Formats: sequence, C-alpha cells, structure tokens
Amino acid sequence: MEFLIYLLLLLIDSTLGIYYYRRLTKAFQCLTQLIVITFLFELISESLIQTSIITSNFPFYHVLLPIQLLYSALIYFHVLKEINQNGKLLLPFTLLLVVISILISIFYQNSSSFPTYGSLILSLFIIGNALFLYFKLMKFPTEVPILKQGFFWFNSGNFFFYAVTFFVFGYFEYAQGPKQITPAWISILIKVSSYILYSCLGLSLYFVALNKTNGRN
Amino acid sequence: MEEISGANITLVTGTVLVFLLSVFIIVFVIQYGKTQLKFKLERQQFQQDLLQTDIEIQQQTLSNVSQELHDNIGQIAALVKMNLYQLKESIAPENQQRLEESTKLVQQLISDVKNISSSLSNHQLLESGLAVAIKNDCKRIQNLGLLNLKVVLSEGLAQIDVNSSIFLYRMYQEITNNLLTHSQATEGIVELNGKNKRLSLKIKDNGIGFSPTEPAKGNGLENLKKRCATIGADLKITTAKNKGTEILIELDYPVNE
Repeated sequence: MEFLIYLLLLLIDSTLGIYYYRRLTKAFQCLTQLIVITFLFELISESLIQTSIITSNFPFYHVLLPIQLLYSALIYFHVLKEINQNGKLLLPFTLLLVVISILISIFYQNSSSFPTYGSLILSLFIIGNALFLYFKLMKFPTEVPILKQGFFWFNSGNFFFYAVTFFVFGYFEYAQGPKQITPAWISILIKVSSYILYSCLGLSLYFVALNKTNGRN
Repeated sequence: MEEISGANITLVTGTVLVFLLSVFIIVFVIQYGKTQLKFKLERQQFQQDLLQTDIEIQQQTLSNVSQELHDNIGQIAALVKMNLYQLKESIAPENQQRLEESTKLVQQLISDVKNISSSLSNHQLLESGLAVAIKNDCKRIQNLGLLNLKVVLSEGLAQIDVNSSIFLYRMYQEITNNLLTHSQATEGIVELNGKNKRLSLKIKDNGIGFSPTEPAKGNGLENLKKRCATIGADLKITTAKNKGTEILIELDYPVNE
C-alpha cells in the first residue's frame, strides 16, 4: 500500500511535469526527467520482484544513484543560473562524486547490498546545495510570496528528505553499528519523507508552470 | 535491553531531527517574509528617488525656460515696444492705426510672456504659496477666455511645505492643461480645502469626460499617479463619457515646519 502511494505520487509528478513541460524552465525540465526516470526504475524493479525474476531492487539503486547525482547537479546548476548565480564548479565536482559512488558500488558495497554510502554522498551533496540555495533566496528576494515560488518547494522537499536520508544511512549505521535492528519507525520516516519530497516537487512544478517562469518573477 | 535503549535513542534523535528541519523551514519562511518586506520598501524608495530626481530635472528645465522667457524674449519684446513708441512721431498719419495695433500686440505679447514665465517658475509659488499661485493661474486662464474657471479656496489654509506645494502645483497644471486641450469643457471649478488635517485639491469640469477603461492617450494620468505616490496622496478620478470629469487629490496636511 505504502509503495503504491509512493508510485502514485511519482506518477502524478511525472504527468504534471510532462503536461507542462514546455512552460517549465530548464531546471524544472531536468527535474521532470529525473522524476520520470525514478518512476520507471521503481516500476520496473517492483514488476521484476513481483514476477520473481529478481529478489531485490538494490542493484537498481546502484544504477539510479549516479543518475540522481548527475541530474541533481544539473538542476541546481540551472537553478543558480536562473537567479544569476554562478554554479560552474558544481559539474566537475559532481563528476568526481559520481566516480567515487561508482567505485564504492563496484569495490565496497556490491549490488547485493543497499548503496548506503552512495546515498550518504548524494544526501550531503543535496543538503549542501539546498542550504546554499536557501542562502541565495534570502539574499536576493523577489516580490512573489515565498509559498508561491517553485524554488522554495523544490528546495524544501529536497532538504527535508535528504536530511532524513542522511540521518538514517549516516547516523543510524554508525551510531548503532552493523548489527543494529532497524526500528519500524525508521522505515515509516523514510516513506513519509519521500511522500513529502514528491508532494513538494509536484508543488514546485505546478508553481513554475503557473508563473511560466522560475516562479520568482 | 541494550537494543531497546539504542532504538529509543535513535527514535529521540530522529524526532529531534524532523522537528529541527521543520523549525528551520518555518524560520526561513518567516525570515524571508521580513527580507521581502525590506526589499519591497527599498524598491519603493528607489522608485520614489528616481521620480524625485526626474521631477527635479523637469523643475530645473522649467525654471530655465521661465528665466529665458523673462530675461530674453521679454526684454526683446520690451525693446520692440520702445522702438514702436519712438516711431510714432516719424510715421505717416495713414499708418498710425497699424502702429497702434502693433504696439498693443507687443504689449499683449509682453504680458503673456510674463504670465507664462511666472507659471513655469517656482518663484511665485515659493513666495506667495500654493493657494495664491493657483488663484493667479486660474485668473490667467479666465483672462485668455478659453474657459470659465472658478476658484474656491477654503479659509485659513496653513502654509503647505515646499515639496508638496511644488508637486500639487505641477499636478494642478497637468490637469488644467488636459482640461484645456482635451475636455472641450466650457466651465470648470478648482477647489483647495484644508479640513480635518487633510488637504484636498479638486478640479471639476463639464467636458466630454473619458472612459476610465480605455487606454490613455498620453502619460498625463500615469504621471499624476506617480506624483501622488511620491507625496503619499490619494488620487480619485470620477468620469464618464459626456459627463465631465472630477479629479480629487487628498493628502495629510503637509504643513511647513
């Protein structure tokens, strides 16, 4: 049931993004592409598990993670460009992170385990970008109310979800040690956070499409 | 037992984290609202400064034109008038009437130049105040025979501050200029009142009016709105096609300190 809600949210966001695709700015077009890719990955992996072709969707996450890293960098690069900020350093830095996460997937955490270290890298990367964007939004305000700005919803969704992800895969793994018993609420927290993330992303797409710009002017 | 204790610590930490994240976002929204308000005020101030500069430049130009009219054209006209007087004795009797007509026309020219120069300059406004300047200007329009323009000034108007006076006077000129050019009015009334700490300038005519929904032909209306915004005045325009126009400008009494 929870997974179905998650898939439904992804489907709604994908449909919204595709429907308004031409009205979206480059950053949010990239976001739509990322949501569609994530939706397809989740759908295919779940279908394969249901038909007993594979037993776990962990290998899919090893492939999805570098893609998410690259897309996140592209999105933040365009977002910064839209508020007249230079984000050129983001792309080479991201390539380095992608190489590191691929190396971890090959040599340290193979496809049979969940890519927690890769997730940590992605979370840290996005939290850093989100804080930087919050700072820039505050420094260069516009007359559009904050709750009607696509940037705000995009950033807040990402910030919340990846902070929780970082806590779960970072703090939890290290603080509890390898033999930890995952409490049920951890899994609920991740699920609820992902609902929040995709609801926020949906709102960001809606507001950007509504304003026909990045939602700030 | 240790496992339960570990899970409890994680639960508490997780709850604190979610709480902190939520607080962070809420604080951001509140702080952004404050920054946004400051940004709006700065932007308004910037626009007002721009307008103020624009008006100061316009004022300086008008002042220069006024001085040029008075010192140059007015002086030349006076010399022409003197020359015409000197010609009176030497000119043939059959041309005397034409000479007298020319002298009268030059006299009229001198008087008009003086009036225009005076209405363009701030000198009279600063010396005698807004009420007198408006009264004299209405008299000038009345004398031109273009319009039957009445003036009603309320008793005991306090001295209005210089900046607001200049703005109100220029707005009055813009309105009467539009009235003379576009309204086709035969009668008009200008009222300047100061009651309950509010100053109001009302200009009403019986002209053809205009439709407020139709796009404006010139910048006049827009200029009025901007000038009102600069001095914090309220602008109310009541008009309809063939039903005349009433323009009311109201502001808190800007008394000289």
